[in-house]
Amino acid sequence: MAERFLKHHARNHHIDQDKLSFFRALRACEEWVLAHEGFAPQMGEVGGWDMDFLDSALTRQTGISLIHG
Amino acid sequence: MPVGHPYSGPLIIRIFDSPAGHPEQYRWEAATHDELVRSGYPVPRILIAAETADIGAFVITERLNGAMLGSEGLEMPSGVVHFPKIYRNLPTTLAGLHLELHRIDPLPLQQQLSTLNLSPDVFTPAGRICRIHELAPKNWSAAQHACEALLKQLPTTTDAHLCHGDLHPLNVMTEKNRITGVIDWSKICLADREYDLANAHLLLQASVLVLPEWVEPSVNTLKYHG
Repeated sequence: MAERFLKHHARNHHIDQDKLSFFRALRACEEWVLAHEGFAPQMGEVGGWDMDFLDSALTRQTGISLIHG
Repeated sequence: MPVGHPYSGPLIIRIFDSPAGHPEQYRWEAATHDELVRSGYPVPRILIAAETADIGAFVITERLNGAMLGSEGLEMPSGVVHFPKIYRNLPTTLAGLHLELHRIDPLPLQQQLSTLNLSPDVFTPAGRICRIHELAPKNWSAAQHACEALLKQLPTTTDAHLCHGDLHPLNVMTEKNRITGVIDWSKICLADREYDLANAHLLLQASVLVLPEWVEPSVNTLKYHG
């Protein structure tokens, strides 16, 4: 589903993959901090995130893990 | 209230009481909604945006009819038949809403914000990182370092668009296969379009959607592999 969403965009305009990775990491970091501070739904709840998956998006961009750091 | 009066229909009140939000969020959202309505983008109109001593900041908006995108027609037993088509169309519908939003010229909004003495800088990727940095506890060094790394790596904005920042199926209302509006503009940002694409891409992969129980296993498979 997520890949088909991007493919649809790619048919209409160029997608800068570096920016895409960066903004994924930004959102991952934001959701981690919000969840950690109790401002967001927890994993498994509606609207909650797969925190491991988010952490890997952040680690790929920055080399920093919020699970292990 | 006379019929046809803007306050005569069902309304929603949103109270901005989250400590994670920016103090100017409600004014920024109100200005954005006004601009989107003028542009013909499907959003609920904000009728009142105000701040009082007892409630704090709040907005009153129209209440949109309909259900969340992808949830209509999934009731058993007919949902079994409709499910493949609904989920085949969902990424295309979502992409269409992004494309339409990113076609809107952000300049009138930027001018409006300037008139209201609201700084657009807060609602940029850099502003968002700074806000996360403030919210992360000072003794959580990994989060502090992650924010600093993101600020250092921040790409230059080359083509600023008005981005929703959270445009996923739960924030799109539909009725009889017609989009009635896009809601929850709390993560608005002026940024390159990749900002929105990255958020939606991540949301489609890694967050929990509201779905009938019988659908969930199939969608979870599609999220990571579809």
